[in-house]
Amino acid sequence: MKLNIRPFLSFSLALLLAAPSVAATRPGGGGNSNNGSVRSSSRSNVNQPSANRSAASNRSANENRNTNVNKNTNVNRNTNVNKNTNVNVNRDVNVNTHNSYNSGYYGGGGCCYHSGVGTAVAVAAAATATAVVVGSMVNTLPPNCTTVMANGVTYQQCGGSYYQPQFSGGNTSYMVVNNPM
Amino acid sequence: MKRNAGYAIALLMLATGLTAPLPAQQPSPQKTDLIDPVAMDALNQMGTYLRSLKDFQVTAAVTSEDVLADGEKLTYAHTTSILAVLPNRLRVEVQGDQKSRLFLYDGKTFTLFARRAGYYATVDAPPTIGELIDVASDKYGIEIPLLDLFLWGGPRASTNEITEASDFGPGDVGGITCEHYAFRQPGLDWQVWIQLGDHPLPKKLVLTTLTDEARPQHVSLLTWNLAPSYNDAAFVFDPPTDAHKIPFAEEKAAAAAGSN
Repeated sequence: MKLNIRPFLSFSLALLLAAPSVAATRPGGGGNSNNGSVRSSSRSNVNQPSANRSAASNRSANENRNTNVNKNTNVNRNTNVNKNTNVNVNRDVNVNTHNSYNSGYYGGGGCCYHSGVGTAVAVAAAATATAVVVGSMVNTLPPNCTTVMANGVTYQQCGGSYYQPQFSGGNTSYMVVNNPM
Repeated sequence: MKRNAGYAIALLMLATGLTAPLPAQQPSPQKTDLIDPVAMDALNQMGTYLRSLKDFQVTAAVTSEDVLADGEKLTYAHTTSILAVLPNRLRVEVQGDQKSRLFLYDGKTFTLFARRAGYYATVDAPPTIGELIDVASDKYGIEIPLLDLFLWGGPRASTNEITEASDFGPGDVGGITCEHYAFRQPGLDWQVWIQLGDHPLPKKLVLTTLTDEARPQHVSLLTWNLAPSYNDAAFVFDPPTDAHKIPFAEEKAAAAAGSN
């Protein structure tokens, strides 16, 4: 009997442990459940710095627990990874828009659609320009960027968009800025 | 045996649908009998010894884990090399899967250089490594690698958070005989292999993060050089011609960006 009960208990444990994780990690529904997003990272140090620490003798258990909050810095960085995905998605949308106009052109034929295509491209370009919101942060740049300097500050120019690289939590991230030139 | 009994109870509680927390995650205050004074003494002696070092070089072979949204774990490896001259000079090189970083501190300025991207940032720095660790963390959200080596044995070590401490006997790390200790504290289980003899150095560290049910681990194998040779230039940043200076985002901005 003992041998029969053990697997049952283990199975129940597995179910109980697994159930909440499935519910908690499928927020979007559909598509890739990971989306490349990191929900946590291994902590790399036992001790954690804190600006609010007091003398060791005055420390209470609560203050120590506050220190643990710093560990969440890792989680913040991971959220930035999600943002990358968002930027990529925006670009895909633009490409699709573009394609649909193209197919409209080929389907219709004739001279008069030329101007229509020109408008479509212009609309797509405008969408690209507005898709990157000034002041927002991204972790990766679109392709084909060049480093430019303006007033001693480093920028990346990617098409018509400008990004200012900075270290955020030890990682490089890019703030979308207005044309600094 | 004690651990097996606790595990069995936890199993039963879970199997019957009770949502009581695992005993291991909620240490009650009266569990001082779970703290082996031998293990605590060893930890304190290691800290005291670390604080007696005036300069050292240490290379860490590190593996760390990320947990993806669905619980899948990824393992990354990097090597961290530290040259420290107490109290105010530090050079840290990180080379690995995800990134390449150089941290430089000469007592006056702190520089972070991202080699692959070719970016660096330099700011005025406080007068000691200990203060640098705080400023980097609190102001810029940057964790100085292996900062434990600078905090153990000092007033800021979190040894008073420990709820369980055990001595698991001798262990071997790279052919060096060590004693294997394990500690538990809120959110973290960790183990340290301390070299036996006159130089009680940490030779191996394993950190198990408990705040995610996937329990990502961080493992460091440490190789020590207690007689490093260096000159002042080792701590001063000389930017390559193709490197570009960028700013540090301050922690408030970084946190706001992360929460979007």
